[in-house]
Amino acid sequence: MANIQINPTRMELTRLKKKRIMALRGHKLLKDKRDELMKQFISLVEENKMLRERVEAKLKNSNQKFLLAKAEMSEEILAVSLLAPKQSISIDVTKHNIMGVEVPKFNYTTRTANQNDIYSYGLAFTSPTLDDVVKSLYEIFDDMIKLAEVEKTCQILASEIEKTRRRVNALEHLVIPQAETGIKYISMKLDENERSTQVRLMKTSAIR
Amino acid sequence: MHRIAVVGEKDSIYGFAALGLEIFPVKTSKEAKLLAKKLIKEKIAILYLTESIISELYDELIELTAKSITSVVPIPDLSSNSNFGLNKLRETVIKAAGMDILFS
Repeated sequence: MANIQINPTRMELTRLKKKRIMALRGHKLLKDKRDELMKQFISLVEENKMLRERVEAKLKNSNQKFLLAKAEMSEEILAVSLLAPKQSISIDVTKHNIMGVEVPKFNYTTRTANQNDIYSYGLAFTSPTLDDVVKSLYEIFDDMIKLAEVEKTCQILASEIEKTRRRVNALEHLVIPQAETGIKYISMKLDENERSTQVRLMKTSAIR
Repeated sequence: MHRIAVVGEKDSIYGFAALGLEIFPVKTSKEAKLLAKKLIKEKIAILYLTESIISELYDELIELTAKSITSVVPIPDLSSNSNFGLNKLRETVIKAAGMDILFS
């Protein structure tokens, strides 16, 4: 810090003082932002964990059922029954604001309102286990959309928190101390100049 | 209106087709990588990938989607038992807070 060249002038002093005040204000604001983001993040992460555990448990369960269903019927019939769906899902993305950070919000709509449209096959040739699988997947689906939303939000918030933390630290440990040493240096230098002028004046008036 | 895609090996994702999601069966993660990149470019909203496929791609895909709306979500597949998703969540927490405050 000492090796940075500063002009010991009054103008530089006012500039540094302004800079210090600005940095202090920014530091306080960013610190508040970081704390609030952290608060939001923690509750979201807890939700995320809960959702993920639930979704994973249910998905594993339905995967096992799917294996059974697959064993009970031929590959062709399975493909035919599943790959021509009656239902389709489209998703609407809106933006949601958390402390100035934009996070997505997913709203999904099904093409038809009829719940039974998830069964895209006749019941004659398929195993009842398959109905179970499709039904359980349909039940998880709401949570899965929510999981996607929360997970994305957590990722965005995490990187935002990281950025804010870096800024706070840079202000706290670099910008503000630098300004302060600058101010100290200039004011001492100016005082010194003033004293030397005064002494010179006294000396000259003594000689006369 | 945006789309939802499920990418993974055939047996783990077939069920989602009945719900009306788009499914993309792949065999290797290399194949999945190309496909995922293409889908991200098409501004897909949610991309579900099975754990066995995603494990090598996850960080790359997250970096790729950091600025877009696409949400990349790992889901368990038939054989997985790795807690991949939870581990990644833990990494996110460590990134934000500097330590593991969720699972300790």
